[in-house]
Amino acid sequence: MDTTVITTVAGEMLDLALTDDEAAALKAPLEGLARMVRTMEAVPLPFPGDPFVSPRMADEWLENTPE
Amino acid sequence: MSVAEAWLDPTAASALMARGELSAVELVEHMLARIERLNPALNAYVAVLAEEARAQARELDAERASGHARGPLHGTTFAVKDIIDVAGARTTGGSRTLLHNRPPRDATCVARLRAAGAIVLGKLHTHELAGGVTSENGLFGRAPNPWDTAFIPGGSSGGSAIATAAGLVHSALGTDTGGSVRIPAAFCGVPGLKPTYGRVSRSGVLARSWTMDHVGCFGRRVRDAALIYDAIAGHDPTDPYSSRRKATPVTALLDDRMEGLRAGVITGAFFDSQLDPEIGAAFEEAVRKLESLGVRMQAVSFELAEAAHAAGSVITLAEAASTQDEALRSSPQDFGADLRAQYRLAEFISARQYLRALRVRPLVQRELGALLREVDVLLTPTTSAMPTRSDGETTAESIMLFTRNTRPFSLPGLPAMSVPAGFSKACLPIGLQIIGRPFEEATVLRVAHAYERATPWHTATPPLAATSG
Repeated sequence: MDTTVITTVAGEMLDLALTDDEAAALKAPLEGLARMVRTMEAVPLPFPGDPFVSPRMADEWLENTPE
Repeated sequence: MSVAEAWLDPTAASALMARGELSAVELVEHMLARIERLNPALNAYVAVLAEEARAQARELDAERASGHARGPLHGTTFAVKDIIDVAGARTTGGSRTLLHNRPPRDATCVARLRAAGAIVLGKLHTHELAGGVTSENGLFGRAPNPWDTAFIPGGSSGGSAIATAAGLVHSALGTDTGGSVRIPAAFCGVPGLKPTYGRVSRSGVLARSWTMDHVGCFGRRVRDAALIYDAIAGHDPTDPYSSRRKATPVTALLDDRMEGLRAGVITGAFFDSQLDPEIGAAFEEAVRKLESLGVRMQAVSFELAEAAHAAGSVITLAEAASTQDEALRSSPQDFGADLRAQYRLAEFISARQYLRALRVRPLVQRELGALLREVDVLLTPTTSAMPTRSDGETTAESIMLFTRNTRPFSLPGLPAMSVPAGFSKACLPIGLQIIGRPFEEATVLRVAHAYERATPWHTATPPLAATSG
């Protein structure tokens, strides 16, 4: 992502004022983040109509053998 | 074991106290003297609670004199990472944003250890807000690796691993979000356990990532970590993610036999492609040693490992930035440069991406659940890389490298432990990671204990801390 785009997205969408240096410093980490997201998105997800497993594996995990 | 060596072993110290050959007061003075002598070079402690420890020791000695001993931890010592509350002491997280944070109550894990008779000696160095692997922060500087101070100790619970390795405390508490107990345990040459998610209360512990954070423990020996685990495990209604499942004591099971146990050795490009050859050789040797103890080995693959690492990283970044949302808006300059960079990066994670990462978690749980029906434990090297020299800075890349073997098992919340498994040619420790089924810490600790007893690694002490007394 170009540093001008980073600065613009940060300012317009995220309410984050970045200097040119700060935007430039984000370039490589953002590329790393994009790689991680691509890796995640390569995993097929279950059909969206399946019951959603709560954000923390939660009840089933935490209480699978109640006291 | 002599009185002068009681700093080495809480079980031996406990036996000496039970026989009246050592008092808790004498032990605390001994530990405080070691801290005074060695901490300036190691920077493991950021606050020593000397008077509080002496007072607690006097109470415990009086209790024992009246015929009451609380158990195996009575009169032994522990210390906690500086993101865990001790009543009346500052919890700074190594951050200027929390310079004046003085909680009135103990964290649940601290209260439970005190109730078991353990004496808290102080607060231990952490990477700022548990957000890195080099154990540096703007308040207290950097903490070095006790085996070679030119190298990083790992993090973020670096102070906990250093203090334990150097015999500045018997046992320590830390936290592990993506490897922050296991990585410093491996780099400092001590056992470090991350229990199952929800097994140990996080009430009174600063959050980094709500759905990834675990409280864990360090000991000089596996048995020490097991004793601590037994004291802190169990339901706590003040932590909404605390499991209601009954906690079964594990220490009594440590000596159970290994024969028939099945272990899966995880192979595949994700774990092998960036593996340091010295770590690889130590890992192969550890596998052979466990095999000689009767453990049946089989190669297994963890197909979603890379996705688990990525999802765990996305979740941690997003949640960590959210935990600091207010301070980030009002005073971003108060955070160290590496933390500020992480939080800025997190601003660019969309809600859709965060939720996608959360939806990957049950898929990883399902895959590992299936693997752990075939075998009792999984094995990997704790890290794929050796510690780096400490003159660098934590980058997103370095965090990704050091957490490569640990974060994929943090995401599903499985219990996992690092146990010393050798040394590099440069005399830096190497760790073996043992991963178990949910809530089966006993099996993980049993394998670690058997391996420890069959190998010499745990008998080594960092040179600068090796002097007795």
